[in-house]
Amino acid sequence: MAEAEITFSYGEGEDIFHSFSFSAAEGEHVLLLAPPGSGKTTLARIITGSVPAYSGGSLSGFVSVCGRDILSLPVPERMEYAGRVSQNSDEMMLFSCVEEEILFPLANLGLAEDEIERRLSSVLALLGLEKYRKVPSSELSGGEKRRLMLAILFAVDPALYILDESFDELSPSWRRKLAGMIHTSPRSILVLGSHELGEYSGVFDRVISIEDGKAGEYRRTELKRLEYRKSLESEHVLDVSSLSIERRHRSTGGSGFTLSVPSFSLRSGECAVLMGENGSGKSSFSRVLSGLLEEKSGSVMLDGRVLSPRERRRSAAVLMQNPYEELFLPTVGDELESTGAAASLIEAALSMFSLEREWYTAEISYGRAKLLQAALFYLLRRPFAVFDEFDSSLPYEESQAAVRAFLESGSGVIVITHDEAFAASLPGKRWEITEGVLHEC
Amino acid sequence: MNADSYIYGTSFYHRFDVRPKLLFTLLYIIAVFFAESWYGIAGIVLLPLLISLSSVGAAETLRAIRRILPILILLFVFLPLQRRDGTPALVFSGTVIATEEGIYAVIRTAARFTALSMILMLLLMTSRNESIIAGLRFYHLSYNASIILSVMLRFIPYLGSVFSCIRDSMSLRLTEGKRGFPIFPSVTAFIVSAVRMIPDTASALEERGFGRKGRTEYRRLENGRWLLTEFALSAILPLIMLIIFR
Repeated sequence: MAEAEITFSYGEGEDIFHSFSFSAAEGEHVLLLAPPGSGKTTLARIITGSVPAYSGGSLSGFVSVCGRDILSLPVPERMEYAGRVSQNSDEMMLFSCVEEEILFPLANLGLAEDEIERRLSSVLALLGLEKYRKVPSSELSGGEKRRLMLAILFAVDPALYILDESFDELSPSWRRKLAGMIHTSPRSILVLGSHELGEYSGVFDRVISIEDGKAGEYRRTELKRLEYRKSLESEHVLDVSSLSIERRHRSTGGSGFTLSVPSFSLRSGECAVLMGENGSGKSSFSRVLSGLLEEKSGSVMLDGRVLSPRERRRSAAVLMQNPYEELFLPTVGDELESTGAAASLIEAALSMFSLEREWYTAEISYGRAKLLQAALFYLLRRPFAVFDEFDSSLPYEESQAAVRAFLESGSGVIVITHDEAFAASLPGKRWEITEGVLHEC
Repeated sequence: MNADSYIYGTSFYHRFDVRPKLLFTLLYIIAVFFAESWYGIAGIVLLPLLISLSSVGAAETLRAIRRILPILILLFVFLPLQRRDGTPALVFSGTVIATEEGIYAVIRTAARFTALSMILMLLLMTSRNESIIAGLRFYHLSYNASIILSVMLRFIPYLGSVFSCIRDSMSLRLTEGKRGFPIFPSVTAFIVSAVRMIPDTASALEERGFGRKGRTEYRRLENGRWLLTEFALSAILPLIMLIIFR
């Protein structure tokens, strides 16, 4: 049904894939688990066509779907054969509202108007997006954007679905729903991931990996519990009191959400885990803590003193959900040097987060971009840091290593995650947002 | 290209049909280039400003102005230096920094840039993208050209949102005792992001079937009872400006 054997390299560089072979029978569901930088996203892009068309590179081999070598087809003609949900939802957004994003590819397929309307209504209901019909993607949360991307794929319904880290950023309930959708789908589905999730259980027919550019066997690693290595210090205390945050949808005039935080406290070197549904206000809370978003009322205090938004920026780092919202400079070296840290510390951070100074920021994988983001804020040594869904697109051990590095440097860390297994592996209190209120579990 | 532009509203300009609105926008852009007098320069900025205040309110108008502010600052800093002939207006240690003619030129250029940006932003803030595409199709533009044009129209607001992201990102990196944000890394970052957006958008369009033949036309604009009046207003207003403000 779907079969591929490819060799690919970007420019003059090393082969990303060397006779990489892959196949999926009709209705077969395959899980490909591999670390960041191994070529998962490149594989997805090769199949759908944006690589090498928009990136350059040398590609040989074939990708056959329904008996047709789709590499010989122009990019727009491949959409009936293979479609993907991108790891970075933002790069795929084009239009001014959810409805338009879905209608665009359906109209391009040349479907009858009533079939377009039927598919639109069906996927909006399937992915819980009816109330966002006229809302632009820029006003959606990370998980809602991911659901929109899934809605587009399910609406187009190609022969081969490619889901690039699509479970990440979804809340546990939506992860379970997506697992159910895959399980019952008659289509061939390839899911790309960086770590094994509990929700994958019983969904896939096969699990494969990438090793040195070839298809390999996946080796399971056990998720260990992260413990505090040193006793908790109380150098600084971050307190939040009677905080209220409100966001409105500019495009519809309707309310987006309101979040109330009656009380929240975190000490230096302490870890806190924060969970909640998509769009419940977790990212907005982190932006308020770091002074990037204004609260409606309430206060954020450091050691008992109320902080202005400017002071918060130097007290609380935020590792945003999409790393590319924080990385803009040409190379990894440029990014790290912008912190003003000493050369020896930059070298240490490069080694700690497995990064190369010369790498171009725009060319590194999404997972590595997250590690760069961590290295950047690690060098800034803020008293507190918020990891906003940092674990998505990264193996558990790398996410844990980053959290540990911050804790051991004395920072208090808030980890926002949808992954129950990862949350359970972290020390410290657990907080949750339910019905618009943040409370301790 | 994840830029928010449309703002919900029921104002006069929101209700204005997109077809005459596109005509008005085009004619206004032409009229802007004929404004030479001081009245004209003030007028071309004031009109979109007033429409903006009445349709999206003061906060959103300010937000729109803040988006173009970096470019306006660059204009005011560098443009007078290029026009050295004329009556000296600003002299430092015997060197002419700016002439009266240079100052007039920069004010005129800044006003034109502001007027153009504001009228285009107003179109995007008060019309949904799909309406704009349908409006462009009314003028017999091909579907592909309409899509490309609508994407291009959103490029300025997109760059504005990129600049906000960069500013936020840089402000989170400031070390103790430093204020503001570093200009040169931010400008570098801005250029890198703007260039990166082009292949990203192109591949997103193509992967979703842009350029395929046999596309379904599924959006049709309805003719409201004021359509003819709105067309007439869209043609007359820029014409009056052209006559008065020259």
